[in-house]
Amino acid sequence: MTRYLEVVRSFARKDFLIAWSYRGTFIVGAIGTFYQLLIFRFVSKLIGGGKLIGTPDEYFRFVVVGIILTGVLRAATSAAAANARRDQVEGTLEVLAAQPMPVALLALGWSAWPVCEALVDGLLTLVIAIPLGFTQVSPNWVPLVASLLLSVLVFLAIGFAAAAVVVASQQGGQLPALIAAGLTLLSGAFFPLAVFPAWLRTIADLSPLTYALRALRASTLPGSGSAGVVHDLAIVGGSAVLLLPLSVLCLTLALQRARTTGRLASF
Amino acid sequence: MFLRARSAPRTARSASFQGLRATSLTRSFGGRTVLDGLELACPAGQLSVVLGENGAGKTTLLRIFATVLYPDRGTATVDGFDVVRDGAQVRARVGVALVNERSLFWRLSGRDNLRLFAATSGVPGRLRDSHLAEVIGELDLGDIADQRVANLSAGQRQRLILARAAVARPPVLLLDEPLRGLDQKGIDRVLEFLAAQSQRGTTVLVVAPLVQELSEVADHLWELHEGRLRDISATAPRALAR
Repeated sequence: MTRYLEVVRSFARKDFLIAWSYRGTFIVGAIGTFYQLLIFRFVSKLIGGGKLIGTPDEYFRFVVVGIILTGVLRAATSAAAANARRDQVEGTLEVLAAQPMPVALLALGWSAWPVCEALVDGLLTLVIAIPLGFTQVSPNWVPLVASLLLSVLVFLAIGFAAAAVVVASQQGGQLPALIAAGLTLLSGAFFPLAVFPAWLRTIADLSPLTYALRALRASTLPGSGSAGVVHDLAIVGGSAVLLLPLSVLCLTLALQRARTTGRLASF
Repeated sequence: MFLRARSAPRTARSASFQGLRATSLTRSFGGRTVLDGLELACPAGQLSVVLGENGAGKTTLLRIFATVLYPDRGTATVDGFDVVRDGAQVRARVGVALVNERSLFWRLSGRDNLRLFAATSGVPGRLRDSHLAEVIGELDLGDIADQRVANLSAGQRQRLILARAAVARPPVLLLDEPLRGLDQKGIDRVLEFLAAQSQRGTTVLVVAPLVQELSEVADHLWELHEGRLRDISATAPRALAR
């Protein structure tokens, strides 16, 4: 296990060093987060007070949790596919495929830094959100950490499957963004699901992000109700257990296909 | 489950090491047959060189042994392990340097590239620095190891790619045109590196265009032509001396 952690850490270090060599993007990202929070702070003043959403402060707290988790969702679903595509185009995929490491480790390596960065961004979002009104929260740490961890696992599974499409077809780099946007829309990241028509709520019930968001809010925000947290976490965890091996299998088959067609080294 | 099933650390050399073998190896691209029933046996612990013109199929042969390309027909084995069926076992035994300077991470330093691939090759953390120091010394990369790859010359990148292949001290090295882009000093350094590998008992398969220098250090020499190998060891001084 130590060896696997070493490999994942080495990939994370590599991606951090590459990201740090373009360090201006860190500052731009922080400014972007501030703007996004400011927009929702003002929007909350417009729509607060209704039966569905509560007071302006309640809506702002609701949406801050949504922003943080969708940030993690975007990172975890897109990282493996983006790095697979980058390695294809830059010419490093073939030599990585020749390394004596399991496919799951390669996929985790591709995802490690982007997910860590998204979690740090989430913390930064909290820090920026507090003076803007993200107050009176009552974190329940065990379910909160469990929600985040299980959510990351489910999102990674989606990301690994997207990477399989990229490796097999040499395209599909935009697929994770499309999936993340769809899940964000359907899962009540920025508005409560109660505004959906009944048929759309049924579809929302199929999204693991719906349960992840509900569990995270229940373990963070006052008045969200913590009764269903275990149920929601069980669904998120069950999805992870089901989807992770499937997605690794997809990536394994995609790499085998690339070895057969000779496309590991071409783009 | 997947982590455990597919992982294997680099395997050390041993007296029972079986070398490389190809039997009826065939591979085509777009209707053009590049390898056509090729037969090859590279004895363990020796330096085998396959020479050939551009497009003869040399890199294809190397890619098959590196498990990054599957043959259409026939078999290729490393230490008795089949490149298709036992890919993980084969990858645990080979270090590969393909002609592709873009296979390095250009925004990282040479040392950071080596550090990453030492980890992916299974070199334990406590041994990583000593492994890095060894290959950096052997390939005379000390002055440039901490520079970004993007700032290196083609010849320096070529030596870095060789260092990356050898950093885990694998029992098999697969080297694609190792003298490409090198000046005379670099050529001498790489030939010394190959000789050192040979002394350690590493099984080395080199593919290259018709390069005189490699003929002089080879234990076995073949020419790849029209998808098949012809033994030309008689033209190699070292092979003749055996």
